[in-house]
Amino acid sequence: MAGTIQVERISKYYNRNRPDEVRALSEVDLTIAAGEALAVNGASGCGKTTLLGLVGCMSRPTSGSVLLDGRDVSRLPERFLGDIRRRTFGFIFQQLNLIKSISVLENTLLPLYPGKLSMKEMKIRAERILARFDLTARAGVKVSRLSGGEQQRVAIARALIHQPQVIIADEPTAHLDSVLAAELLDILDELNREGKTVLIATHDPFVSNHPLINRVIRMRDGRIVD
Amino acid sequence: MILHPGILALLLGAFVSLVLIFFAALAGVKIIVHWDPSSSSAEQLLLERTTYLISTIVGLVLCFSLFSGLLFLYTTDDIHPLFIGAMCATGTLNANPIGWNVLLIKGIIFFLASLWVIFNAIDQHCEDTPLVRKKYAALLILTPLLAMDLVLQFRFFSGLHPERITSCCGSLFATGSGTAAGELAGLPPATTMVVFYATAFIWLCTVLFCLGKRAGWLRLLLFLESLLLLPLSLISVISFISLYVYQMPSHHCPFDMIQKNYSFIGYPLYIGLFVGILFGLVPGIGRVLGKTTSLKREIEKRERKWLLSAFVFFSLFLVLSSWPILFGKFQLFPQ
Amino acid sequence: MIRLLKILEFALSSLARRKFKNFSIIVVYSFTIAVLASVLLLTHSLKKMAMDVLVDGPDIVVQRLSGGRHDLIPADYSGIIEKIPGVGRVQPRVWGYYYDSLNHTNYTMLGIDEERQRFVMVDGKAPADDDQCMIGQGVAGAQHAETGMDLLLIDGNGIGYSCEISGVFKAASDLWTNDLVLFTKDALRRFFAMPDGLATDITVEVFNAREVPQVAQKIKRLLPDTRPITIDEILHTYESIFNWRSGLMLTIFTSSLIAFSILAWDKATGISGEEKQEIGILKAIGWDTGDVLTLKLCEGMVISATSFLVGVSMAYAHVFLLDAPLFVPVLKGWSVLFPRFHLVPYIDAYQIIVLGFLTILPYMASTVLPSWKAAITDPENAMRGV
Ligand SMILES: Nc1ncnc2c1ncn2[C@@H]1O[C@H](COP(=O)(O)OP(=O)(O)O)[C@@H](O)[C@H]1O
Ligand SMILES: [Mg+2]
Repeated sequence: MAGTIQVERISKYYNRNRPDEVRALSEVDLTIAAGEALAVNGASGCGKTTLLGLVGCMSRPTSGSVLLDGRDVSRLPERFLGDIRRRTFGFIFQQLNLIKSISVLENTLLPLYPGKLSMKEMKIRAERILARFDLTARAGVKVSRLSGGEQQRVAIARALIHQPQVIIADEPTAHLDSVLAAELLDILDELNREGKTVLIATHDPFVSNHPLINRVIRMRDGRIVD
Repeated sequence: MILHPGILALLLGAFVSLVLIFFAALAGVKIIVHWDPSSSSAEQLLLERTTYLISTIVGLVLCFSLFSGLLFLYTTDDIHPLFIGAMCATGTLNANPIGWNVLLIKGIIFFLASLWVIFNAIDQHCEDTPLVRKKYAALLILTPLLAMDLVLQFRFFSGLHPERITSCCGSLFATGSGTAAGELAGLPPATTMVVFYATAFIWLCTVLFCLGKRAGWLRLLLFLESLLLLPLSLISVISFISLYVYQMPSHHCPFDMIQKNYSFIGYPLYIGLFVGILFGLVPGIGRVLGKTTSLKREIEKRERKWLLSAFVFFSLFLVLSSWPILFGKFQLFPQ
Repeated sequence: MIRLLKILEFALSSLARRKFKNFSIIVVYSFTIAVLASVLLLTHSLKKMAMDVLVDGPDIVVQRLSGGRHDLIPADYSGIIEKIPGVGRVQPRVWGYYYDSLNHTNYTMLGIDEERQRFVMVDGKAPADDDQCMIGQGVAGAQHAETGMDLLLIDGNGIGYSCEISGVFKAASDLWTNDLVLFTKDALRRFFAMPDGLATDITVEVFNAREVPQVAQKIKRLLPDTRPITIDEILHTYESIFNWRSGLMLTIFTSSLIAFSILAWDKATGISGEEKQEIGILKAIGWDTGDVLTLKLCEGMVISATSFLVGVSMAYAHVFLLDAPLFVPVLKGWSVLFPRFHLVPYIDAYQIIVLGFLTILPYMASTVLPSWKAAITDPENAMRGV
């Protein structure tokens, strides 16, 4: 089963060689097995987002390497990262990152535009995934008209449209009340049971204690502490 | 200086292209100097992102140059009444012979920019972008060519003096007129025909051999043959193909055929010729450049398409130019 | 390919979402194009009309020079010219201008004999005797004259002269009919008080167009007091005038276009925060820099193409349906050459390419850099909500 992620001694500096240099990650080692559900815990500013970004091919490490199923992606030109990101990862962002002025269906389709699917195939896929999250009736509605819970589900639907192996969620419950948070974690649990790897960054104990999570790692100042 | 809308458009286009390519070349120099794929610094990332800008610019410049070639011919044709004795584009070009150099430069720019775009696309499909430095060094050749294009066009148009009496295709391509073009037109059609068709046949066979065999020397041979076939084809157009297209025993003009009177036959004809030759050149260059495994793989993926395109496009040229010879009423050699 | 189409579709919907901003760009842009296109269409149409008239005309016009000035030419010179090999019909012409102080208009008066069947009549018939004349459709319209009415003229000796209008003729170009009044040659000679045996000039037809310069030289040699003017020379004078005029105007308008491009550049660079955020989102969910760049270029292309179509249509309506009212002040100089007339719609691929070069090219070039800047937004930004 594909979806193994190996992080080897990665460091990430921002503003390298400048007075405002920040070392966001230093020499982090981490292996995530396929199908695992991992929570990254730690205070704000400890480097969780940076780590998720590196794993998810959003950016490249300053040193060290990231291996996806044994393939080193940390030195690839940016051109190739977009494609890998699309095929491998589904992102659920802290602030959802939906385009508010377009409809639910259009938002769900967004990741598919650069690919090879025809418009028709894209729509079929989107409809199937919207049905799964009870959004069929809302497909034509602008995102700005939706409730918080619905928006959350649109964001998940969009993350899944590429049928990714790995779900990466950065503080997904930060803006949600406890009911919605529970609902979200149930969805993630379901996905994990389907075999998808789940990687969640959070400082919410509710998430780390959820039965979905197989393993919790703790970070401080850019390092994994246990 | 003649203030003609077409001339203004051409000069503006050349100027804008030059400014664009100049910036691309500057960025290219930065890449040549600082490129370091092993680094993950912000600078390297910016350089990588700059490659998009450069690709876009060269693509646009290629696009502009295609239209500008067309516009140039149209314009020289449109202003021919200004020159006593001129009857078509040829007359205007003769009114200031720099015009012929403009055409030559435009041809070179077309081939170089197209090759750049083709190999850039291949390079971008390789994770190690092995051609980076070569690519941007090539930009440094393209830039002065575009500068020359602007300067030559400016000198051509500013050196056009409407009072001047000029000779047109009638006399330029007239046999025994003493001009080089006249010599071309005066080449014995039968010999030219034989040489042209023989070379074209050999060229097509080489393409077919390349499709069947993977030997490098075949591609290089095709490259050299293409370099030979292009001028030979142009000579043939002047020497005998034009005669059959116009169905007149002494009308040698290579430009008239892009006009409406000849149902724009010149467009597919020249497109067939230029694109066919272009794709004849590509595999050979690919062999020379394709040193790394990643490049080799990408080139091999595309080579079939190139060879087929070369075959199809050149055949289009051959068919269009041979059609009136085989089926037209006009006969150069009465039986 | 399918990727490009999909991104194009997305570009369209994304443009539609920012209606106000894009609409205002399109309005300004198409207006600029409309002005440029009007200049081009107008001058081209004028040129074309003038050329059509000339091309139908003789290959050589022979004038006599006396003291370096145009003088009447002996009609029997035509006999000498006719003998030159390659020469077709040779005809002495009698013609001149007449200022009608009653109606404040200029007429061109031409004497015709056997050529009369070349004119297509809309009404009446050709002048049968010396007291009749026929007028062009344009003159008829302007003077509210019709067949059977009398034309009152004052002749070369200052004596009033009334002449019956025997018919009205038409021609393909308004240039022909707007000021032309035709008489029999004898009547006109009398009217202008021209001595018998003299003509205004002599027209010469040459069988092979390529021999025109040689024939002209021979005429000059045989008749040293004449000046043969070839059609090439006339065409070329017209060309110069037209190109110079339209070129001058185009230069002015092109500079305004460049100003517009700078404006557009400014506008496009100032990508709104909302747009920037959208691009960040697209990049975070898997769009590549190239994809975003394609999107931005598609948007630019759509804006250019729309403005181009709108602008050219506006120019077409302005010039050919309304007869270019906005340019009347600029065109004052031409009104001497051409009285009032209706422009013949004339548009071809060449003008379209020229216009495209003058308008679309600078716009596309000016959007490359801002588009690229927008496209290289860091995907990581979306994760941190910047
Ligand atoms: N673009 C950036 N430039 C400079 N510093 C940054 C940037 N992004 C993050 N940082 C710094 O990197 C450190 C880790 O940030 P982050 O990974 O977002 O932590 P977390 O997600 O755990 O809150 C923080 O100190 C933050 O200020
Ligand atoms: Mg964070």
